[in-house]
Amino acid sequence: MRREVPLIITFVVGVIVLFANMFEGPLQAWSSELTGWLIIVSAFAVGLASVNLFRIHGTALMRMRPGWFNSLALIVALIVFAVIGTMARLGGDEKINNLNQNLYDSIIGPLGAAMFAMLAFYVASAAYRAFRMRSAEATVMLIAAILTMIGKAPIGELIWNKFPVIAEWLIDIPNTAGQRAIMIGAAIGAFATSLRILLGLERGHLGGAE
Amino acid sequence: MSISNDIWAWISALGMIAIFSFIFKENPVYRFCEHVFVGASAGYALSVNIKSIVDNAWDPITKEGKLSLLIPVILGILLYARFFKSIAWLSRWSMAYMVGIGSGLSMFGVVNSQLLQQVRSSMLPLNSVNNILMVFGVLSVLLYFFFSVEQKGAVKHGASLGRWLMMITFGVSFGNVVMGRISLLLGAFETILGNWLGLL
Amino acid sequence: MDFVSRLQNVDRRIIYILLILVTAVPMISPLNLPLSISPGTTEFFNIVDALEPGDTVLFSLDYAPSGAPDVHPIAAAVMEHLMDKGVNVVSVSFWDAGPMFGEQLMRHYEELGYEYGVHFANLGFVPGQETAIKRFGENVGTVSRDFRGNPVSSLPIMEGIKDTRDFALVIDFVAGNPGIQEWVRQVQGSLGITLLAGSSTVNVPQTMPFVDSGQVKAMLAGLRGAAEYELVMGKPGASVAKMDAQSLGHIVIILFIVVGNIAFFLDKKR
Repeated sequence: MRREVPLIITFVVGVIVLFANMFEGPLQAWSSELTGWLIIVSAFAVGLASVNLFRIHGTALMRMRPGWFNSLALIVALIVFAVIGTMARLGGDEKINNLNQNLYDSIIGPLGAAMFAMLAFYVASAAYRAFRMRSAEATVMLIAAILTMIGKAPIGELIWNKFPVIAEWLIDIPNTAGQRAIMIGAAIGAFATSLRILLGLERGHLGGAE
Repeated sequence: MSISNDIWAWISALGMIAIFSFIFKENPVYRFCEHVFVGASAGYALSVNIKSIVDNAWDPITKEGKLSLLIPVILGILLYARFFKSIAWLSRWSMAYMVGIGSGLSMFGVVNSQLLQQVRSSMLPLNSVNNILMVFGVLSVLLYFFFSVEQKGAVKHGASLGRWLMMITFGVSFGNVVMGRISLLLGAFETILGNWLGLL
Repeated sequence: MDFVSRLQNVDRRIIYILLILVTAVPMISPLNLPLSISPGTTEFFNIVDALEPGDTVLFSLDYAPSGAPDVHPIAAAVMEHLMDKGVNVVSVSFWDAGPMFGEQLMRHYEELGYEYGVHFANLGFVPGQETAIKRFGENVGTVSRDFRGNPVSSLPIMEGIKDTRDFALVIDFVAGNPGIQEWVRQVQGSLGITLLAGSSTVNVPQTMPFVDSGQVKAMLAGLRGAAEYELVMGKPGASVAKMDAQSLGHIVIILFIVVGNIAFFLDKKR
């Protein structure tokens, strides 16, 4: 039962949703109900990450492992944002709503933006150290990258007014052709994988062979 | 220059500087901010999803008597069975349901919108350089990934053209990545130089 | 250590400081370089500009702080245009961070006297990724309460809106998945809505096949797209001001590539 029930669930719900897209009839109502439920299940799924974080950092804190102070900061931040956010979302007054927005805009917003802005430095470093003309293919890639960058920067237009035209063409034609072929390949791959999942041939999501 | 006297502007800017300090050297202030960010993001995600559960399940069940919604609630709770070894297998039921829906939806969607529509859009009259490039470009990249026949003769030449085209595609992608990352950096500078230091 | 070795092994911190300088300085004192408008931006602008006062547009805010500096300015520019024209905006998000950006947009216009629920509304976050997009696309009633806790049926702006076909336009402001691919796959294909994209620069190459096929009618590309839109609107703002820094950032990275390669070839020759 531990093995069969999940396979049956996947097959049945998958087939209902798939056929509802193709044929008119009662399947559409069932499919609509099933997809509506997924919103609720997905909302529960998000809590898994928080529970995991709590377990790992709670243990680190209780055992006073090195870095316990950071674990404390993480847990306090998690609780503060969860409590204030929930209060704001479930009918909090103007004051709570403002506090929630300010907390978000001043902590999650800037810290998240800074984390990803750091990638600009790594890209710069990689451009200097790794982007080499080692082969003809690498040279073509490098030239395409440089033309795109220069064509999309206002200064490129000042240097030569054809740079933006070239960059636009590179994105519109060769890039679109390449991306389209990759997209077609990926679509065939996704279709095959989904079919394998529905038929129970692919079971990675069920975790192990048991 | 008029430095801000808003406490939130100070918190934003100092937090960003602490994160940026990592590029020079890993340090305790960075680690602290990183942990705050992870905790805050998880807490925030929890709050919006609690709202979703209240709106989509709790209220309809308790106020409108929609008892069928108990099924997804139970499936949602079963996800947490994975934390208890003896009943961990029950969480697979929820997983199976989620993956089943995803697979069913994607099968139709990818064929209809990604496969057929994109193939249709590649069927162009061969009356301009761009159209010729588009049609043979798509074919040659597909050929490069076609492993069912031995790559020799015309197939080899086609696949080789596909490889060159992909190099251009990757180059364009790299150019866009650089542009995107610099935009993120400028956003960060706007917070630090503008909102905090009042230099902009 | 000789010159070539030194060139090959430049301290990464020098690279970082150079990048900081060339991007921060032009932000403080702009060079005011001219900016041309790409055809895609003009097309996007024309579609939005053809809307009538009283129309309602759906914003799908699918980004997080990680991509916000590249995408949020596009949403802000388009919002400004729509508010100017008297077009209403409803926002929804399939990324949990999205609604907070919706609030940022709407709070600004509330301060200017626009009314929440009449001129705009924030339907908040719908979990469930691709499935949620399909579900919402076919039945807007999937969301029963907005982000501020009001019953959606009580909002005047939502009158007569049952599915996404009832919006004059759907614009996905997107920095990844779920996003434009899922909108195309699950909603545009089956309902035939008019779909536009405000995409992060990184996602532009992958989205181009959809623009070319007409599944996405027009696209604004990243911060540069926002800057161009501000110019077409005749209201140059924060995004235009950043374009000089963007220019110099590109130039310095191109220089890094060139110098890195010169060092590489000198070393190879040796």
